[in-house]
Amino acid sequence: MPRRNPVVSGGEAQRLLLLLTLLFLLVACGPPPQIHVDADRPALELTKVPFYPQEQYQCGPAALATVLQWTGVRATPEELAPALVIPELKGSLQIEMLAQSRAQGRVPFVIKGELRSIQAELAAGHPVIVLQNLAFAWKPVWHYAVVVGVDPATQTVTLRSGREQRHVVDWTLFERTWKRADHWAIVVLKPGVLPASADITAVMNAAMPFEQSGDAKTTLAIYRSAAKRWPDEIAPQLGVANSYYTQGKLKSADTAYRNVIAKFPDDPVAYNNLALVLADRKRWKSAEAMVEKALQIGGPLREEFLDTQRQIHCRGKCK
Amino acid sequence: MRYLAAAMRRLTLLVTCVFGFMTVAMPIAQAGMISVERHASSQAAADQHAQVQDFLQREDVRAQLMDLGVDPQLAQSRAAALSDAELARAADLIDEPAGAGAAGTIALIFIILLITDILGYTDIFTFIRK
Repeated sequence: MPRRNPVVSGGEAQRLLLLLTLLFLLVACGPPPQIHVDADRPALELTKVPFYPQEQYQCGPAALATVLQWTGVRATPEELAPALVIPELKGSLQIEMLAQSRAQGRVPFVIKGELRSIQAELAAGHPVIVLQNLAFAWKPVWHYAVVVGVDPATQTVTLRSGREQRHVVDWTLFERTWKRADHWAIVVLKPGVLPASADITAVMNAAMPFEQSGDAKTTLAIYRSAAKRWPDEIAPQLGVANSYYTQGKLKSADTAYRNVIAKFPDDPVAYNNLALVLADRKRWKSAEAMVEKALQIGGPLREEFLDTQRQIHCRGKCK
Repeated sequence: MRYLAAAMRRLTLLVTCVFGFMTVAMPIAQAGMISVERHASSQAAADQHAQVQDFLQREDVRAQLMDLGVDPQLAQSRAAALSDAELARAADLIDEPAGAGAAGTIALIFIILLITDILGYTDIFTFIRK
């Protein structure tokens, strides 16, 4: 019996050819990506943003040093590298880019992954760190770069990237490489400066790690600016008062909570927190009255208000 | 001996300073303070309760519930008693557009079944703990 030829048979070969053709068509004629861009904005370029030619696997430190310098932090890629680069991965993790920004006394904000958000940041003078995947989803080549310019007339994006000080790319191509990295983009700013494009949730989220680490000075700066920009939102104003309290500034906290109550009389949280400030100042009667108001309003945090009341009843000496 | 005594005094001073600092830095009421994060999450939960209630009051949803043999009024009152976590699951799904079209209808039925599952009227999804 003749051995069957292992080479693909006629029918199979045809199918393979068809598959390859389809694959080619898919690659060649993929729909152009949707680009959310503000076409009416003039060309923007932050020409004075510094540049660090990148050593091998150092795009993370180079990009971060670039924006940190821009905000007045003296940090070089070489100084940042030990805390950022994971030799095994030949690169840096996104969360570590955020953590290092905080360690350097700056506030990182993740902004919305649209070109128009980048434009808004550039217009405000904020260069934007982006993550790109320069190759394929199945064989990624990750890369951090700093966007310093967007020009709607030529439809290009200008980056500090690798060894190029002005890497100008077609924005369709930029969008493809950026999309493969889930449109990740951050701005790194001085405490108290807010991103132009971010909504209040993004700003409050940026304050959270500082709050958890007890850095009340930074949270105070963030919440103050947020309270100015969103005067009708309670969260930043509550944040201001809480930050004073964390700093041990009881009188400022007292005033700040009363401001919150004057503006948002139906929210019970400021009453509860003010009651605790009053308790710390040994004004037990006023504290009792205040927590009573929180309990009258009630809501999902009622259990916590009852705890506060117990604390006040036993004059802070509960078991 | 005198050296030891001096060292002890320094140590005592250090310990006193450290403890003194801790008392100043940690006011008695720290535990009861409600953080911005806690405040926000409690508000989100309240919003979700409202969202699910709105959903259960929709005409098409009420009709579906009645088809399933569920009293819409009762469904509402029981949805109000759900925990925040259970509700978050339902509210997340309601965020999906469940309007016109076949996909919309399927999503709508799915959400209704999910809610009635949580409420204990139906038993479709095994991941829901009754």
